[in-house]
Amino acid sequence: MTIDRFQQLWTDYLEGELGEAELAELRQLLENAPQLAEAAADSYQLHRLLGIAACDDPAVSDTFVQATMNRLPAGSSQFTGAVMQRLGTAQASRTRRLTRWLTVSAAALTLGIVSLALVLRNGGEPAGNQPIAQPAAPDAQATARLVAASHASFFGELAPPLQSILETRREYVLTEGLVELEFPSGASVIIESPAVFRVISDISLALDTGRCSVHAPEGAEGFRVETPVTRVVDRGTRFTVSVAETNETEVQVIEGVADVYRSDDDAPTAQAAPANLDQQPPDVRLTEREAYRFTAFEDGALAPVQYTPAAYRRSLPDRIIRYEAATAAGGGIQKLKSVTVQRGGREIQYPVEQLIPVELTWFKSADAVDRAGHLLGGEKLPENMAELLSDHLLTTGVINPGGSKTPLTTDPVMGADAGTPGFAVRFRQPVVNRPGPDLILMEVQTFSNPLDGDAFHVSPLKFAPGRKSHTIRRYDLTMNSPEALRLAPFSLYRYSQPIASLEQLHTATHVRANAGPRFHLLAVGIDLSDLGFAEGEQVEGLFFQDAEDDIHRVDPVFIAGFPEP
Amino acid sequence: MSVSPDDSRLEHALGRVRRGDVSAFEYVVQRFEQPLRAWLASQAMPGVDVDEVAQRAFVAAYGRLHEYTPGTNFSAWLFTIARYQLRTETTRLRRVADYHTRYAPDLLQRELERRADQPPEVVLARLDHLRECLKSLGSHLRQFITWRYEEEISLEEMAARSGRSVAAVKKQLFLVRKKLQECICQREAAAEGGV
Repeated sequence: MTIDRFQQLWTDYLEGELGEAELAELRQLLENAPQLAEAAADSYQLHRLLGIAACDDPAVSDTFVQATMNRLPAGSSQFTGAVMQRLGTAQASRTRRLTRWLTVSAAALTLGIVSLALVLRNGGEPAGNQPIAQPAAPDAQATARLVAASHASFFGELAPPLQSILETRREYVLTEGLVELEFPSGASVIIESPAVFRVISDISLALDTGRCSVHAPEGAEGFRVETPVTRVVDRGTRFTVSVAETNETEVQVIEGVADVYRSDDDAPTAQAAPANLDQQPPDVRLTEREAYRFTAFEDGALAPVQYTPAAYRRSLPDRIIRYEAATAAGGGIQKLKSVTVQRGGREIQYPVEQLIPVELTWFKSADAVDRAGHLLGGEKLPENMAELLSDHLLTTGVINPGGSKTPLTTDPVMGADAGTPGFAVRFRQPVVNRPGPDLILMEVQTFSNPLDGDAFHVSPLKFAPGRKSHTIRRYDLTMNSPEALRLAPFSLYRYSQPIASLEQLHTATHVRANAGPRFHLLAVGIDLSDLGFAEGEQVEGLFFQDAEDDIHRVDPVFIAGFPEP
Repeated sequence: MSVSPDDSRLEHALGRVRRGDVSAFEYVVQRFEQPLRAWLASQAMPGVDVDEVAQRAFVAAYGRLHEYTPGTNFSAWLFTIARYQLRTETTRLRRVADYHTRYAPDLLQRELERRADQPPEVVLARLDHLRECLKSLGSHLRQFITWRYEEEISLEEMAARSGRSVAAVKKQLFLVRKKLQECICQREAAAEGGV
């Protein structure tokens, strides 16, 4: 009898279905029959190993590896410094031991220490083996940081986290989007994809291909962009450098002055800048509104080209930059704390309490039953499901709405019988259209879903001349963004019928299931201007539809408007 | 002592990391992620996020790599760090006021703690046995394991899919786990006997 009861209780325990009374009963059973504790531990270990064996999926391993790599301290130079410091200590200690049994002159010892220092400066290897000669500081680790990214994808790796220090002299291949680097001198560089670049030092960047916009404020003069055929040295300015696949380099000066030095040998320019560059006369000095093209061909062509100031990028596009959220006890984020957005070129952080909440006013699913369900929540659902998109919990939401391949061009219908598939929200107070994103939508996503986020249409509730639907196909924070954080576990609620109205969402029978722990939270900003609303116009609500471009549907967990900046 | 190509590659990667090449650490994580997660999964008390502890162990190993002596046993060194990380997390959880009522019977905890020094090799061998035992399960029994551990669906859904009651599904899960446990024990005994 005891064994049977243990089986029942233990299975319920592993399934997370044990109530307090039953847990007390299980505890009592184990105390009365200690051999059961051993059986329980065996079973528990097997249960955990089954979880591991079930995930024998390379994608799961890759995700883990990338997540771990993203958590490594950003400043690798600090790590290297610590290692070098320790090496130095060890070597010094060894040297001290040597002096006990070797009789050497003070001069010889000094010579030895100097030699040791030289070896250490070269990373413990003979100087002749160093791959890159840096006249100013052979082993200096640069501290240029990645300070902003927009839709950035790197070839074969995740984008480095914001504020991380980029590895010195490592080749970064930006395949999509834009990134902004900030150098210690204050110089900032926006690099546009496709581009291949390396941080060479605290005052220089190598651009092997692609385009960058440089701003070197007062104090950052002397900053260099090295290309395969030129060195562009800033003399206090804003300029762009574009490098084609043929190494052809175009330099455009927007403000101030830039000196251009042509490379005069076959060695990669980025790796061998002369120490006395400042004392050499430039091949070309470009001033404001001047543009030149330099080619790598033997004829050494150097020609003025059309000045195109539009090529200069002063900032990254407006977007959701990041969000902050409180972490649940078992790991993963759970409750939103703030959202940081760039609006009209200005970075603003909104505490969640300042955001304008929404209320769900309409919901209609597709015609078929959605096996993933329509609600996200905890073990119990709130009475009013209209709040699931506005509460600060990121583990609650209304998901898998109906949709349409074609965006709406007329007012959505929100009647019980012939309603428009999708969902509608009403803002608690009108959102005013200002430059940049005016509202945020956050959705849950996992690696088996589209990495850029689930596409959706957003439409006005009332169409008028000039108003239109807008389709979002790529989120600002995607599965490739280190800023898209991992979500705490949550429950899914599945219905046995398609949902035709908000009322049915409340009343139809549903069952709960635990979702896996591998979901992340993506985010996208929506600019009301994209829907045809005029600057300053007030918007009371919006209609959302899945874009039906694939089998996956949008899964919103939080929508809110931004207050006036 | 012989050095396998894998060991040379590992030491080479560690050398690159020490010289400042962070990307070389990726090989280290790839090489040890599954053994470390499996070992932690079998040692961790209920409520512990195993992946989180594993990641912390890797990050700690990276930060303290200057303490590792090249050419010695990196695996043992890494698992020692992981053991300390697990202890820290266990202590943190215990300090949560309602941990015992929410998560774990005390005796289970004690039994797991008693096993805390199980060598990683034992756990990894058990994982290999488990994989083999899973292959030997009949398809209808294997189906319950797939539903429970891969698809992670609810008991109600398993009941609906299999046409049984929820109580019958629970019993089935218990029996499948028991069968797997017996299979593992047999394979361990055979391995010890050199068969």
